[in-house]
Amino acid sequence: MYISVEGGNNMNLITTNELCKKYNKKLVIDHVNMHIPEGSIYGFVGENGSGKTTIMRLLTGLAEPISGTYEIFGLKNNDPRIYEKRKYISAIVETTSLVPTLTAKQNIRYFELYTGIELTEEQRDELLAKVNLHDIEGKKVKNFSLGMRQRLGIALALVSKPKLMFLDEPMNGLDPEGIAELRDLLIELNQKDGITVLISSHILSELEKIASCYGFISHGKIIQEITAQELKEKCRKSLMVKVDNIEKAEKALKGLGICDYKVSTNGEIQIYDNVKIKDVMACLDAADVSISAINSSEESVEEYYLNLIKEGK
Amino acid sequence: MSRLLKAFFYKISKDITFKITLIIGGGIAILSALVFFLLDALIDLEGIKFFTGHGMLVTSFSPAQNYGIAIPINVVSFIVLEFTQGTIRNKIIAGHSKFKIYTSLYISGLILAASLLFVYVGFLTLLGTIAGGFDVNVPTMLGSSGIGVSATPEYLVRFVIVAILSYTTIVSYAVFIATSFRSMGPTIPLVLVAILGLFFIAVIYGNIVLVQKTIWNNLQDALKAAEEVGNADAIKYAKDELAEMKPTYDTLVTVENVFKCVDPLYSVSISETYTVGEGENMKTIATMDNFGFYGGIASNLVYSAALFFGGACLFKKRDVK
Repeated sequence: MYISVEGGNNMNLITTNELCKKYNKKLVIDHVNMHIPEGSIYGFVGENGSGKTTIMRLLTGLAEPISGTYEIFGLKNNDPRIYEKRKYISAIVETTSLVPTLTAKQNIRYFELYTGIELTEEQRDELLAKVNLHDIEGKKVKNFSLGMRQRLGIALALVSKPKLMFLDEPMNGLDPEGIAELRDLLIELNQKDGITVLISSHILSELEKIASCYGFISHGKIIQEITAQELKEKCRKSLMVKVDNIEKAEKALKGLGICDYKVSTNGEIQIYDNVKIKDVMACLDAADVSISAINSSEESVEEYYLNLIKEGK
Repeated sequence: MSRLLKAFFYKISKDITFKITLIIGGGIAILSALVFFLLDALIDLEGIKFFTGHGMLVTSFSPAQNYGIAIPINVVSFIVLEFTQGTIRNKIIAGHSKFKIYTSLYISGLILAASLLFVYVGFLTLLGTIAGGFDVNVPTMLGSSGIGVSATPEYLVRFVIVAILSYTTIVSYAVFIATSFRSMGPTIPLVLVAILGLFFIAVIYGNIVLVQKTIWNNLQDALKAAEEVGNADAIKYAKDELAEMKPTYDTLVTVENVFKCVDPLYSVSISETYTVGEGENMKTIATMDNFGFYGGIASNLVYSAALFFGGACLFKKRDVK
């Protein structure tokens, strides 16, 4: 299933067209078509090695596609004017890129110099305060914790007042408090400053709180793009019943008009149709099927993704 | 590109390895000055001085001396760290083209090398000049030419030009290897093997030719002397020896001229001298012939350009992790 956000109200800030990338003769990005709407927080979800980082590397210019194209800010990747536009992009891909022998402020100064931005001392302090880095005057980055480095990386990403941010697993190394702060910061940047964010994370419950659309990727292929609203509708409520006789139960449920359900090997039936528990119980009772457990639940993004992957396989 | 250069210079100014190497350079210069000063004070070599400005200029400028080796290692360290720390990524993401990044790294590498060299050579030459003056006619210790060799202004100019270009080639090679391998592991050995390899080829072959040239010159002197006194046996002996030696000698000299044009470190690694005068007035003078000078310039310019453009193309083609 492919639900494109291409036709939405928003313009796409990034579109990719049949993007491919090979490493060691192996196709790691396989004809990827992505559409990232302007002003969105695009949650990029996929298993380890699915190609999330490679796509970010392609879009940030760190790697070159073997075929296919992409457009950022309306400019194709082979358009020389794209270099000028890239100054509106910031990214943390794989690891935060910092000079460990410099202090946080010196790292910011180093970043300022090659981006051509001049910050005042107060602005540097404000930036560090924004990512909650306090009392680090004179402390070299090599003595920072992983979380502090991650925060400084985000501070650097904000120096150039970007319009588009790529964040690859930015929550790695952050404590729960840090994750919550980053979440709030990203929402603020997105809503207040209109920054479009492409973020990948393994913590899907966190992505769920901030993403306005999703791209699910597996084995180098985009298997679905979906808005958060559409996903919410798709993460349906379900009713799980555990029975002693699956065949009889299936027949009875069909008799009740239920056709959207899944049967698992351990005697569980997951019903997605909107039915009342008492009707199901009565129907199964009438068919002489005994129920050992019954439970109502709602699918999370994680379950939705896992189901999507299974269907893909 | 000026933004990249400013950033790289800022990083160099904060680089602890660079600062330590500068201090070591200054320290070695002072220590060397002290040793040469003591040698002059303790050993009387009748007009020959160990410690002079022109002597120190040639001796300290040699790319294969200890401090000369430290220079490309510093350049390699500066560039490799850009990759291992991942800071090169930020520059690409910020929209700098890979060609501009490579060019900036290259210029920064050259300036880093020049700063380190300037401190060491400048300091030692200055101390030598203060202690022993800068009179090129004074026999001194002149690099690989050894002790008791005079120079000419032309030789000094030629040597300095080719030596500067040799360092340019070394930095070009160091930048090329560092941006290709992007880690210290293979880069340092490859840089050291290349520099020392070229240096040793020059020294070994240069010495073989030097021995042959000395025998050849001695035979010619013997022939001249024999002709002056009319000793027929001696004339015949010298002529036969020269005739026998000629094919080998010509080949050796031709090969050396080829080396001067293909080995970028050859001209600044070998010791070519000639003598003037006789007896007590005899003087040994260092020289760099046209093959050495123009061959040295041409080979270094060609290597530097090829390594720069080759490295830039390779860097542009490859992904950055």
